[in-house]
Amino acid sequence: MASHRKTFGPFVLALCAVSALLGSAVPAAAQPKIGVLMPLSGKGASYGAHQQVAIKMFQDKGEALKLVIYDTRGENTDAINLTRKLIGSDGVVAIVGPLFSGESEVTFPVAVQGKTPIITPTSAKPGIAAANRPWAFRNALTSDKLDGALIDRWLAANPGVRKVVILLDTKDAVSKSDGGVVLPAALKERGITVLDSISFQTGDIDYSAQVTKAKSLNPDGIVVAALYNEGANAVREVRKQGMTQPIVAGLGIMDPRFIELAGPAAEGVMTVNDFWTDNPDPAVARWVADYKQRSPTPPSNAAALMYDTLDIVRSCAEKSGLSGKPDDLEKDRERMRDCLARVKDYKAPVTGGTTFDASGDAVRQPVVLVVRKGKFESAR
Amino acid sequence: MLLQQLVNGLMLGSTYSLIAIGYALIFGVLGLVHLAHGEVFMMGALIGLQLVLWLHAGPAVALVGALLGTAVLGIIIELTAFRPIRARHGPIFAPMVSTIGVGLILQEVATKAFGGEQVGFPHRLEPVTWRLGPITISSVQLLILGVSLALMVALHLWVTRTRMGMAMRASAESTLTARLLGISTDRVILVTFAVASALAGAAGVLVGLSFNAISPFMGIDMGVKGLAIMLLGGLGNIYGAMVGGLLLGAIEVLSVAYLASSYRDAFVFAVMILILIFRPQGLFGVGQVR
Amino acid sequence: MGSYWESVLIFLGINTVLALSLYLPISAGQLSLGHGGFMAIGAYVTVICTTWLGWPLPAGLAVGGLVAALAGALVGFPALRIRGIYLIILTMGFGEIVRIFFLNFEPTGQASGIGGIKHLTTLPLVTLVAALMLACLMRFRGSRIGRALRAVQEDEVAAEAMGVNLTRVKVTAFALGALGAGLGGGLYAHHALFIDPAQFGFFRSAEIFLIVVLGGVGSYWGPVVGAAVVTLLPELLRFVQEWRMTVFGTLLVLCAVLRPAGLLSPRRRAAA
Repeated sequence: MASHRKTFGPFVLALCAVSALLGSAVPAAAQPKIGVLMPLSGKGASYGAHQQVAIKMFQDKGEALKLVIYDTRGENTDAINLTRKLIGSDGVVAIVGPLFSGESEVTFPVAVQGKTPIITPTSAKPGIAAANRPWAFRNALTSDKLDGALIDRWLAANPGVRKVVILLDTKDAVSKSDGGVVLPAALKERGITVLDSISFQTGDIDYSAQVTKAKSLNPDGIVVAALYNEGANAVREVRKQGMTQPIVAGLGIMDPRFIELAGPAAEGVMTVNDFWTDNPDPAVARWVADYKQRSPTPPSNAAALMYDTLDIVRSCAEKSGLSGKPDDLEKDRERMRDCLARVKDYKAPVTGGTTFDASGDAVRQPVVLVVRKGKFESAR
Repeated sequence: MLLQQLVNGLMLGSTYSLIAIGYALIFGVLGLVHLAHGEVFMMGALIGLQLVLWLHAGPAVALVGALLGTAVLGIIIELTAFRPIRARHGPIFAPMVSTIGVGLILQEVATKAFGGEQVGFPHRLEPVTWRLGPITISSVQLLILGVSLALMVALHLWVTRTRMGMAMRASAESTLTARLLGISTDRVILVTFAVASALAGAAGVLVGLSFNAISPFMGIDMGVKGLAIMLLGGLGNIYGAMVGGLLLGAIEVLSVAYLASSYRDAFVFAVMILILIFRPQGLFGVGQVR
Repeated sequence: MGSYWESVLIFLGINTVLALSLYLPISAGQLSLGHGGFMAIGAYVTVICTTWLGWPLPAGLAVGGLVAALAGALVGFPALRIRGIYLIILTMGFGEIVRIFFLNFEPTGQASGIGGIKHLTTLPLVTLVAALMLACLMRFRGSRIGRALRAVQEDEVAAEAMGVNLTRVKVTAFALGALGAGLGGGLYAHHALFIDPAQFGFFRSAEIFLIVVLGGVGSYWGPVVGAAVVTLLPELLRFVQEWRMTVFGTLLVLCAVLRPAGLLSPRRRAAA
């Protein structure tokens, strides 16, 4: 009996030792490396898949960036370990990623400690880059910059709206802040009364209770703050219960699958974003067409932003004159950081003119969008 | 509004019942908790969806296909993850670990096959809604209620009228006695798994049709709730599971309507804990808890 | 040692602490699937001490652990009358209630969590805590309470007949287990630098539970081996990046089938 206990311990230790040796490879490349963190399995795997297509598109253009890609599974633990790995073992000059705001929360401080610039293409939680200056950047837009324009446009299109009900996801930090803080403030500023804020949770499948409650309050309009899954289900339920009021949604729902899931209920829903697949702009249309040839599903924000972020990083890598030698790693990282901080009106291929402000957040021209005939359209 | 909320709760609750019954069946016959049952429910939804997409078929085909598909899946799980452990007389943990493993495998396979985010049934299957006075009800909701009730009645008849059904009840009472009476407990267990899984698969299709939120991870939440309901209704008690499911659906919906939704799960669990403390055998359980 | 492996080992240490802490109530026959809740309490309280009050980490850990232990004692009492599968549900419910409490509790950020935590957890500290816990468990075994615990595990009725105060033993096991989880939570918070309620949900409780039963409850080395396997295997399996969970799940099934009493159990169980 004791023999089995004894053999297991050493076996596990041996396994650890072997992997430690394998894991701490010595970085020796003369070409600067860029780390990429995204979820390829587990939570968010579908976003990761989109981003993979975008990365392939980027690499096929012949861009000479050496990428080291790791799968975070959408887990904070993995994100932390892998950030350290990229900085310590792989010696990257910059990191693109991670995807989720939660992951960014845990990886940004690691990047600051490791003095390596990190730029997330997608995390939209307000304040995370600001808390981790000067190394952290976010290429995704936040609601506080967009909601004002959105509400203005929505009210212009629906002048009879005086009182609204907000339906929000309180489990998702971004939706919670959008629906709980930013949108109500924007509404209040414009003299609209919020009758009630009714909550649901990410992953909920049944919204009948919430919508029944909203219906009983008799609002003039409905405000939704959620991700595309939950938003689509909520909107469907609203129409299913016979409510015809106009709907405006925060940027969390922005994804072609929103329309797919919500079906005819999505018609007329207004939201705001910097990328949509049916953008008639020729550069965007070309990119989307190329994407569609490589993947059965249309691209989401995650893909577009990954592509553009890689482009910005490449441009900085070229402009900063990186040496790529291991000894100059620290200097190279600083050069990247300084270049990223100075990005102003950079013509990103898909999302257009991008500037990073003092908080490290991206500033872009938002477009108010409305769903017409099953597609997103500019609301102008 | 109250009436509408109750209707909502009943609809939601009937799907919970189907899953809880599955847990109850398996626990009754094996004394074990099948922690991958939620994933079987999920696979039912996905199988149903695939059938609809490939064959351009309607919900009936999806239901039947899911029933059959998950029944087979249930049998496979029993043969690979449960039976070998029983043969070795392992402690109570082992099957739990095993089913956690099965659950992980099913989740990843589903993610690979169907993508990680939620998908929905095509919109040509969009329900028709009717207004009956203060209540709005949709064709899908009626379908859910109807199918659930039909399945529960069928189960009841099967368990009380057919030989196999009675053999199952005998095995649930006492495996040893059942064997002495000449019942092939191994076969009974297989049938139990098939039936329990089929019910879960049907629930998956119904939920998918109604709520349009099919994802590889939809089984986790359902699994936990189903477990709670089985407890509420009394371990291994099919009828307790049926009533418990409806009750839980109603409690959930009402708590969302009158409290904030973020407290919903806490409320549900608090109710469960109170029941556990004051009536540990569940609402319909009989006798002392050993 | 690279920064990557240091981080992996710190997580290993934290998981070991958590696993050892769950081992206590489980070895008293109390299956608990709510350990994530105690971990959450420890994490949040410790962070409040270090971030808001500016205390050093050990002080924060002590307070976090104590508050968690109090919660553990509180849960321990109703747990007395409940066994087996029912207890699993009770503890699961408790864990969820804690998570939902923090999801709604404004001062700690609700769903947004708390960020900007100082990095105070070091590998030596984690190793120290884990080693201390192991040492305590070893001494515990020989002590009166420890022997009482084992008696209860073997046969409760007989133990009670022999004069073992079941109440005291079980509640103590629960409280001490919660204390350990609280410590683990505090250590985790100061390594991840960000905590939110989602980190401490059912998944976490299930993971800790899995670690303990995987390693086997026959001895206190079981949780250590379990923690090593569960923490290191996903890292080692990175070369099958996309199918990691399938491989992991298959391994779990194999473990359960081939070693039902846990990895550290003897191959053939002696006649029961």
